[in-house]
Amino acid sequence: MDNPRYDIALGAVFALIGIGLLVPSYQEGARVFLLPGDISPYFVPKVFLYSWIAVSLAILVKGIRDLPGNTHAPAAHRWGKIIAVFVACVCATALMKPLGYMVVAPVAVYLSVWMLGYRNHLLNVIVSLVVSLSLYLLLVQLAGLSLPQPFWTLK
Amino acid sequence: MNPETFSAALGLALDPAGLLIMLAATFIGMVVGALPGLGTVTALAMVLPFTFILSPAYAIGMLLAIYVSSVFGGAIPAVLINVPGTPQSAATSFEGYPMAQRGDAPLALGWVTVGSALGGIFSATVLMFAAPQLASLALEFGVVETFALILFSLTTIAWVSAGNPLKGLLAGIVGLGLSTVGIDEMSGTSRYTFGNFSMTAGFHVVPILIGLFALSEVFASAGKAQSKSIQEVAKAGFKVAPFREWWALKITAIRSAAIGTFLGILPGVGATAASLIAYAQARASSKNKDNFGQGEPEGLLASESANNAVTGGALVPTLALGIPGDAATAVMLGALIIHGITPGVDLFTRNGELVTFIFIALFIVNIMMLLVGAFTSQLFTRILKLPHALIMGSVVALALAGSYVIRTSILDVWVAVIAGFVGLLLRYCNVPLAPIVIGFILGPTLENSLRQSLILTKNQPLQFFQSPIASFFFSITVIVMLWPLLAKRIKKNRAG
Repeated sequence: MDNPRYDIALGAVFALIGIGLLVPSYQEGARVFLLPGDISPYFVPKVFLYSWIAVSLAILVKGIRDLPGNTHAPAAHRWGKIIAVFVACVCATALMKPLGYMVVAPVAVYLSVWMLGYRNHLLNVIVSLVVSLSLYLLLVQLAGLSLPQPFWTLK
Repeated sequence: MNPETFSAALGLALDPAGLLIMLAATFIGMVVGALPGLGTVTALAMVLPFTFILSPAYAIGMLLAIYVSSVFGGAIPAVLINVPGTPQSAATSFEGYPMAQRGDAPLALGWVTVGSALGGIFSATVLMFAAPQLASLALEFGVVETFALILFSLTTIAWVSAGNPLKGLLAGIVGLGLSTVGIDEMSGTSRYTFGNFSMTAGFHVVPILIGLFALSEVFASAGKAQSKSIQEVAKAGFKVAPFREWWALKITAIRSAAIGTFLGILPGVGATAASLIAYAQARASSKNKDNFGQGEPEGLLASESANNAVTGGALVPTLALGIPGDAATAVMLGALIIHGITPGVDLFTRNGELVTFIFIALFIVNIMMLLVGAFTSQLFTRILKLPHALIMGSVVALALAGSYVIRTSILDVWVAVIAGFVGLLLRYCNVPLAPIVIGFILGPTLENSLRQSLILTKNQPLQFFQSPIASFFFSITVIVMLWPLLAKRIKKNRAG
């Protein structure tokens, strides 16, 4: 079931993003040199963005119309845990280049598993190391692909 | 299909290394499909980076094995713990779990495994005959017709795939919008890069997939309240019912496979609807109606042969027209494009060997699924007891590595992490994620065909209607979009 409050937020946010993207479409589009008969590279994106805004506004209006009869209780999500796992992933991404995959990935895995409620720390450490190492060996050693190396190993 | 092409494709399919890859992928797909919350698209997204080091044939064989076996894998927890691993197996739990509760889990898994393989083989046969016919029809398609076809497919997928059509449509448009970032192919103009050089190459489909389907599942798991109870898992095994019992249900098996294949060909309908419709059909026409819901094998067979038959059906428009029917085939299409293979009529005329290989490989993976399912079913009692948190942690490691290795770009990892969080918020708002991926993959073709059509018609879009094929697709697009309103009006009139 749709929650009208979420629909209002969804419609409003996406309408604003759409409008925000339309501005550079017109600014940049005006600078493009076109030969007679050419179609501007911003023509199709503008069509998409107008449709994007129209559909977002339709969702927003539907949400507002459905609001008076709304009996939805807000869903109980553990936002603290979600944000913690998200922050772990963000930090891992930010530090992956300087510290290397093999330093960052096991820590990110360990923290995520911990945040997900697993409390057997020894097994968590073992799994974090084994999974990250297996992936590293598989991708780098076996497949010859590249993963970030720690800065102190780079020449 | 000439004998030379067939023998070359057969040689490729029976190559020991290729067979080994498909065998391993079958098991991996089965495990990922069986773990509730992951599913077919996540499985395909996670293995996609590994296919980069393989030849196109091996890569396609691997992805086909994952696709087919993960659809089947969803049925295992449906039988053993009453939780479908994938939505496609929801109907399987109606009969499978009651059978497992009365101690017949091995028999239920026997019906499920053989039924899935039969459905898959049926649809592979249809694919083999229908795809070349559809591809030859596509010879009539110019840019205007291509634009009309993509518009129809995308609208239908977005409109049909969600409970709320507007949200499906918004998701599809967001996917189209994301596909416009980077250098424009036709003019060389850099669009929406905001001065960031890394963004000139545009977004890659793999980080978007990993974020939307894998990382958003990790975040969603973190957001769920923990259950303290240890799940009861029925003892798995594999036992096939006597042949006379199978023979008695031959009509159900064929009808369900036909329903699955047909619905697979249609854009946006998918395996979940196919298995539920086949189950309802089996129940309506069964002599044992009263046994449904209490562990009736006919219901199990109907559900599983239908959902696995969708695999071959969905590949018909994907291979013949380059139009995916659902998110899983959209990933397959993306993988083909990454490997330099463009589906459509050219694939059949220039790459006959590869097309024939795909047909043969689909038969092989269905047989492998049967064998792997039979020999490893006992393992699933243990696999389903694995702590969910550890599996999700492993997904984080895979997501970080998988999104980076595509283009060795840290931007792709950022895209995956942000797509994961946005995907979670969209899930909470009941926005389907599949249309985003389909829109993203079809976006460049839609854009190029629209621009070329406008150039051809000298900016006169009304001239598009001079093509009967395009007019047909535009008309059914309008009908599909107006149908919910018309249905509501008809219902109101009947009630009034």
